[in-house]
Amino acid sequence: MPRIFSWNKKDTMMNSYGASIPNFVSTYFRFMSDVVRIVNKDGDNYITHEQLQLLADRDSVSITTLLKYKIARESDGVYEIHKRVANFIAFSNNEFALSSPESVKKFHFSLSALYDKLLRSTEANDIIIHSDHLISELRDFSDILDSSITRLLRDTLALKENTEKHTPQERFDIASGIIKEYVEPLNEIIEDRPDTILPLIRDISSLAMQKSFSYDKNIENKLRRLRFQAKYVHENTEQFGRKIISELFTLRKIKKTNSILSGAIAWLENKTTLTPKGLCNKMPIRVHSKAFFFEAIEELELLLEEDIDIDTPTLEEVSKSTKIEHYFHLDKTMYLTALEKALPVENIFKWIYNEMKKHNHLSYENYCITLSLLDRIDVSYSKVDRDILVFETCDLNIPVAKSTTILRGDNDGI
Amino acid sequence: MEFEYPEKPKETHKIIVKKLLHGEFISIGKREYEVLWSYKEWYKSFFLDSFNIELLNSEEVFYCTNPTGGMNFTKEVLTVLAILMYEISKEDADPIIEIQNKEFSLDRINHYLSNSVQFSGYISNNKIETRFVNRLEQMGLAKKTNNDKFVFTRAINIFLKEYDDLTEQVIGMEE
Repeated sequence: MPRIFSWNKKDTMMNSYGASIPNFVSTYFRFMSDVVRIVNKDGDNYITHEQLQLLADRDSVSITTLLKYKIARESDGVYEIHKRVANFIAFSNNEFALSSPESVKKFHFSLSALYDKLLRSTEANDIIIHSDHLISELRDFSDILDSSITRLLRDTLALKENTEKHTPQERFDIASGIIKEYVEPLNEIIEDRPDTILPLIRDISSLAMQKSFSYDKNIENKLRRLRFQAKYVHENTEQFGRKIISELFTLRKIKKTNSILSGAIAWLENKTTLTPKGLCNKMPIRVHSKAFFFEAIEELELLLEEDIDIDTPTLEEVSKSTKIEHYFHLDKTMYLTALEKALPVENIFKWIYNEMKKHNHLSYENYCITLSLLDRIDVSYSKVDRDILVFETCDLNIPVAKSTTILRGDNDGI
Repeated sequence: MEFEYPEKPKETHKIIVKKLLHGEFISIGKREYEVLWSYKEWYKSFFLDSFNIELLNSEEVFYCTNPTGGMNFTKEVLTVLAILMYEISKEDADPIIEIQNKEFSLDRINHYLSNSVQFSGYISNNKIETRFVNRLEQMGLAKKTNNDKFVFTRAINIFLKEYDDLTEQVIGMEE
């Protein structure tokens, strides 16, 4: 049986201070917790010298010791905290950072590379090493998802309950930010598509299964552990996916609600500069297209007298005024009296046309006005037959509309 | 476009055209809504070709807009609704759900208007009159229930969406 030599780089990176570090963390736990809280806030991943000094003075902590133990590292005037220490303290305090989608995506590359290595491995040693790496990497991936979702759920809840007393505009901005920066990209990474991490995890599991047939018990055990790890992480990732979709809905709702509220407040504050749509306004009525002109007639029946402000002066006004001598006065009584005698007429449109011609009133514009007579006439349209009326300015294609009765009105003698 | 009315009761057609040209909203649940929904494309062409007016709709409401009109009532509704939502949100309730689902009365609205610290004076006398509610009903934005109470119809969502659009306008102005 070959000797199995497992060389894991992580195992050899012993920190020479051993128990001093947990002792230090334990002694100054409040200090460490506050530092980690600042580091994890908003994903900046650092604490400024001033902030660190303030906390160090408060709890009589030596920054030099912090650096000596490699718990912190100075970089360009700010301090970074060792990821493992920060994670441990955050974990102890049930505080989690929201991992950037990029840091989650990195696992796709690392797992993919490790999968290739395992695939090509034939030596027992190599299989053990790469399986170990895969188990560890899957674990890290799963941890980062757990930490992110815990933090995301908390942030969303705080936003939903508005514990920070943000204005609607701020809540809209925060919700938009989380959706755009974290939730949507994360969702894209962990969705079950051919090019995402989920099928890769399934491939890792299948590979572990295939390989385990050809090797001894030791390797078989290792590969079984890898398979179980892959299965667990696969389930965890799917669950993460479901949770993140649910958070996406909640956040979108918060965003929508606060967009509406924020718009409402913006309206109250900036009425003069904002332009709402003309809701509840009457429409400007004009017949737009000649082709559709008669299709609008039914509406004109309703609207001509009621909504279009046609200035029709009385006969006395017409006779008194010289200014409006060219104004067409529609003498409804005259037309209706003539019509009553002529009824039934085969095509009311043609009849009005001829009647206007007889009185020398005929023009396209006057004809449109005279059509307001239609609200007093019972009309039945033929959908098939049509006719053409010729005006000086245009020709009109009209339907044939038979008329037999004048509807009774209350303002004239007809 | 060849003229061919869709098969439908003539009276409903007249009501539809009259209401929409008056700027009223036609919400789901009304007979006119059913006809509009069934002949949506026809009505869209009809309004555009006959009057050069765009017939707008959501899943729940048909309406037309006219930006050249006076807009007094639009502005009044936007203001009353905004104060109402702001005050409701201070009570830790979801203002949108309240507006969409709860029953309102003149007294309840006036209670919010007259007690608003931030937006006092935005509505004259800090109160609305019965005619305001009547107008809401006439425009298809509210429906009276019992005991002088009313609920907002689905058309109120068009106003809520309007705030959403105003937020976009503010963002546009800031950029």
